[in-house]
Amino acid sequence: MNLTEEQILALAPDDSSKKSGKEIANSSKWNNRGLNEKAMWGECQGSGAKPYRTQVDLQNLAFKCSCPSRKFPCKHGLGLLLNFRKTSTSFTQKESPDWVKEWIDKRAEKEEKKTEKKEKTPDPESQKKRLEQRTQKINQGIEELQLFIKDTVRNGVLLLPEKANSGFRQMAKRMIDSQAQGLSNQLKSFDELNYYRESWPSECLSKLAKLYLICEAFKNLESLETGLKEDIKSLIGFNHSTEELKQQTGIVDDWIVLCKEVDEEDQLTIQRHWLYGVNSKRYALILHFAVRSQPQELTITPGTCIKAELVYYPGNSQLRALIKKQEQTKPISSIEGLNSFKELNEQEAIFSSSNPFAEHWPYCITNVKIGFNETNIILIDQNQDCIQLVGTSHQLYKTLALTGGQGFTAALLGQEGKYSLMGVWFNNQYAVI
Amino acid sequence: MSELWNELVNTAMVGTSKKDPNTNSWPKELRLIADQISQQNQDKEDVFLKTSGLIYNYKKSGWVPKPSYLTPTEVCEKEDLPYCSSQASICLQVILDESLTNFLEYWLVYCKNTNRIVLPIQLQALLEIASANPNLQEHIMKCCGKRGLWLSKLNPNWQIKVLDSQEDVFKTGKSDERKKALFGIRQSDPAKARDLLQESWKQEQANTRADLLDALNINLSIEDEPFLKSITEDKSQRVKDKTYALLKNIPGSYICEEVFLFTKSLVSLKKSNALLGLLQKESIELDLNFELPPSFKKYGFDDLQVAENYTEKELLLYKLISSVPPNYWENHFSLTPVTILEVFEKRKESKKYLSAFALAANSFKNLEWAILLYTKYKKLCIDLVPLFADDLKEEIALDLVEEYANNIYLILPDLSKEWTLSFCTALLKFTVNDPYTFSKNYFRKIAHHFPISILDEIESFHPKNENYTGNWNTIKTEIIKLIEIKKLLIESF
Repeated sequence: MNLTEEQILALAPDDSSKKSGKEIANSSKWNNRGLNEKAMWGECQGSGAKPYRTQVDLQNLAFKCSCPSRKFPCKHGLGLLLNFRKTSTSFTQKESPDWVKEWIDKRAEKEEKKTEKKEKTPDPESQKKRLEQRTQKINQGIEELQLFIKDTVRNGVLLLPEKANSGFRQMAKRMIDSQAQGLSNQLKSFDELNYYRESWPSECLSKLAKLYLICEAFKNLESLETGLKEDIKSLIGFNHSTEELKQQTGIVDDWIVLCKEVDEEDQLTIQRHWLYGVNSKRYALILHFAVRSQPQELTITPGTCIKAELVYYPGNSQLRALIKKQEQTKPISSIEGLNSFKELNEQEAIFSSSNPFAEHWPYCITNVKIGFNETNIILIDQNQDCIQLVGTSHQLYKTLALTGGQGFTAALLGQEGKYSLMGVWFNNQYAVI
Repeated sequence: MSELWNELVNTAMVGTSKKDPNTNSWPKELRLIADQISQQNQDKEDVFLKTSGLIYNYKKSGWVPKPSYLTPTEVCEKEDLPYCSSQASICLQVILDESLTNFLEYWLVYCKNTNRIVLPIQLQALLEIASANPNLQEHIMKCCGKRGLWLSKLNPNWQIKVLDSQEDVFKTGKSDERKKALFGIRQSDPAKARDLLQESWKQEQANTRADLLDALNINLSIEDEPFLKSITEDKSQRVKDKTYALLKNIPGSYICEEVFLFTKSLVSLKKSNALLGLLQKESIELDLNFELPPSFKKYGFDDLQVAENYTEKELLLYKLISSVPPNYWENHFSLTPVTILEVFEKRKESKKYLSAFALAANSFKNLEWAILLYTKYKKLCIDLVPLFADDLKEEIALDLVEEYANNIYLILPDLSKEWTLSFCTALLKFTVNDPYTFSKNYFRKIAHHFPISILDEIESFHPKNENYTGNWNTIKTEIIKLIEIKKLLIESF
């Protein structure tokens, strides 16, 4: 169990939990701390008479605490891990007490039951009928949407800034009514257009053209090859059953968790974890959605390496995946990446031709260096070619601090010559940027 | 490629009702597909959008990496010193997360004293702090190694002035930086500081002149007299007042001699016989029927404040005595300091001037008199406390803990020293009863001075007022946390 403080705090559901977790990491708060290879536990004195019992499943990084908090993990779980990090010698290696053993055994039992549980076979006729109804609704929605897009380009986008995206928001709501959540999300993304940027008309046309193409592709779905068909359906908003996916054989590998992105949309928290398989050299995107007040079930930490079996969602992208089975965290090893931006460019052309609608692609590239001036930050490869880095000055100086200006391996995310830095390998260590 | 796309963007801007995109200059392969799209559709917007989709994808797949237009950042030199341990790094992170500035300084001193440097992952955070806290810059830069120095030069927003020579900072920095630089130079090279001030004097504004003059309080000596004499007629009253105040405090200066000459005429030692001539009695006689010489007004002797138990003339005399170097009286009366003070103590009329000697010892940095005045009469020369021996400092601290609890560093000025358990116990016994004045923030600033052994005592403190128990418990938890951080820090190195 060798998590950094950053990694532990990354598990926190919000900033106030981070702060409370740090406050409660003080040894004076804890008694009867112990651990073994399966679990870690301790008792924390709260305001009540009885101390709270906090425990952590070390194999799957799960938490349980007797405190009344609805947050997950609670401040006690975070505090216990932080305390271990500071004062590991205060934890005694021993047999778990009964209250820990009971929980760990129950979790193991639950996992077994999940794999044994048989799916209730849905009625194929009803399924087909529902699908037809949905497809009809989507097609009606698409007709409306394409009409809207055509009206927009006919009248010109010059006046869009004055309208404050009201048309797009209206259309987004219509797409939800048409059961095309994916199209609704695409329309909501027009809110991200920065009308003070010179490039906004180009970005706007890119979005409109892409949206229009997705609609056309759906209308001609049956003529598309299988992989692209799945990608289009996914963009429209069709989901796959995770239980069905888990029945498939996945890829077992050591997966480095490159970074984590968190977005809040209305009442939803969306976590995106980007992973890289050390042996398979494949990338994966794990998406997790949670209603804000609900516990986050996913506990993989950026900057760690997990041994896991991943199953990919169907489609040409071969990026989105789910974790079928997760074993343990491992030390991170170094990786072989691409050797130049020309190689990256070739790879990107292949990716783009397989799925023209993807927003960005992940890459690992070795032996790159940073160059910058007042306005631009670039990465320079060993052939002295460059790409634009999109990021903050904080990220720039953090990278320079770690590498000292020397060549390093970069984990990137982006396309068309503009990328953000997810993390850096240097001196056989990976750091999330 | 950008021309093709820009043509489409321009069309989208004004609208397809007003403009058609010009595809004549497109490459043959693209024009072919564009023509096919046109032929299959009547709808102008549909054609436009499909064509845009085509070019959108063509553009995405068609970018090529450009040759670099910037040179890579210069590589940093290798470090000479080893990095601190991971435990020390964890401790530092805790300190940074808690924003414990005083602990940070403490950590940095430990790091420097053990010849270690900070891990690269923490450099950025430290340089941000250095930029915002000039008083920490020197400590931070000593622990950042070559990489920290290299990194600090890359970011123009990190104005780490400590890297520049103090002379350069004095010549080019902002007013606060200049003042600090001049103070720094005055510590190590008083003559140079005076010369720099003299060179720039005429160009400085009045307020700046007055501020910079404060630097001469450090290592003030007779060598400063010529310069100070030359600026006594400055246009600014503030400058004039400060100049005279400085001249007054230089033993041997013309003002000091003039004041002593006048004052000694008012204070005489009377010897009389007692016990039938077997013993000689000495006493002080004071002449209060005096008029100050006119020149004394500009030296600052006329702005009297009202004081209880002192008449106007007594107060004037008090000021005069406090402006005379105390050792002058030794030669004048041919008596030792102890005897002089004893003689003054004998009569009620002269006893009231004992604290004037304390002021004089303070102003003229006379350590012998300062120690004597405290040990015998509990008159404290606050500026000279840093020069006292440790056991005297401890005695003063214990005596005056309640009076100086809110200004601890006046009586315990050594910022790097650990306080004794007895002092900390006395401090906590006092502060426990006022958790509003001596809050969590108060202890966050000073807890790094507490010995670890205070943890064994902490539970024994309880406020007399039970209503304060909740507040105190919160403060106590904070103190325990801070001492544990200190413990972690010590163990880390």
